[in-house]
Amino acid sequence: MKNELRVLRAQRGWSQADLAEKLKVSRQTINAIETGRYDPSLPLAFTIAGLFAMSIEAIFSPGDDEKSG
Amino acid sequence: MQPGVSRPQPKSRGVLTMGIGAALLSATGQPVPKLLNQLTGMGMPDLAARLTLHAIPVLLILAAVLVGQIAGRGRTKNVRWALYGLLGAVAGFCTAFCLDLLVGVPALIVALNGPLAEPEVIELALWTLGGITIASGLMVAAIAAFGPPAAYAMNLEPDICEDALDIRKPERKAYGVSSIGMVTLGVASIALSIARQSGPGAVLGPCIVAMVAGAISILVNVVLWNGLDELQRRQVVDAFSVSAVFMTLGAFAWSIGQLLGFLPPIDAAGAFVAISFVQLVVTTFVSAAAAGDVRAKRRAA
Repeated sequence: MKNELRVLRAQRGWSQADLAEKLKVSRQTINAIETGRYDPSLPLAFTIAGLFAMSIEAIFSPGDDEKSG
Repeated sequence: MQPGVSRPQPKSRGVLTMGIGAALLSATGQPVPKLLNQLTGMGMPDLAARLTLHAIPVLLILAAVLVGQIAGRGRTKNVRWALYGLLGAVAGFCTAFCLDLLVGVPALIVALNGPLAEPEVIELALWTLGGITIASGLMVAAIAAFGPPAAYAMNLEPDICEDALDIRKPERKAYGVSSIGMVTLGVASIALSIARQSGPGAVLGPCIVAMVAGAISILVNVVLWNGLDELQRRQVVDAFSVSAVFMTLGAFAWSIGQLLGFLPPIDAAGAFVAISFVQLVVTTFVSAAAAGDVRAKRRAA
């Protein structure tokens, strides 16, 4: 999956640690999501969407593999 | 990290810290009599020979770090760690010819628990496991106590990722708990070895120490598990799953080797130390993969 997390975070001037504190996860998890190495669980995706006041689809979208598969 | 606030680019101080650590470790040792006699026999004054034997390990360890940094440039973290490990092992092997380290420890153990038998392979592995986990635990404890300054001081990587070293209060608390788990595991491992090396009347004491330390380590790991987020829990489960595969294959291969007479029988302590080492290595690789240091190389290829 692809996501806009890094852009959204940067727009608000938050560091990875700032966002991790707000979402109550580790900084490593934020880094892994931003770089596409980890797809968050649905509960975490909903929490992220809620924090940015956006829909999940606006933040996360299928990657090339998911589209073709 | 506050946006808009300019700060000087931080630098890692790992080489300096490693040098100081090596010098302190060297100070706990005594020159190996055989090599000391050889040097003095060649005409070197006694004091100069002693200073040389204390200095060589420090220089070797620093050389290992610097060579590792140069040779590991542009490679994945796994390769760099493997290089550091290999070069460190060579430096450690050479150090053993120059100095008997931690000379007060065996005397303390003998005073507390009586004489010990010479360690065999399993006991040496238990001591090594204990040493590695206690040293790692103390490093993690330093990060828990001092936060980012300690992380910068111990970082051997020339390129610093500021986000990675932006360690805050909740993480420091978790590091503190984790360090207790690591140190107690190390104590349990060493106490188990001491129990195996002790005479018949002196086994109970170290066994009790091993059991108490092991119980604390298990308790700490339960507390840690409850504080992990979803990715960290997945890493732990992945590491244990991969370790289980390696251990199953290893046990199968060992049983064949034992039947054919190539390998000795393995007892419970041998199984404990083998499982612990496999988990240590696999967890390192799983963590590195989660941090992107394995996949980054594949993408670049």
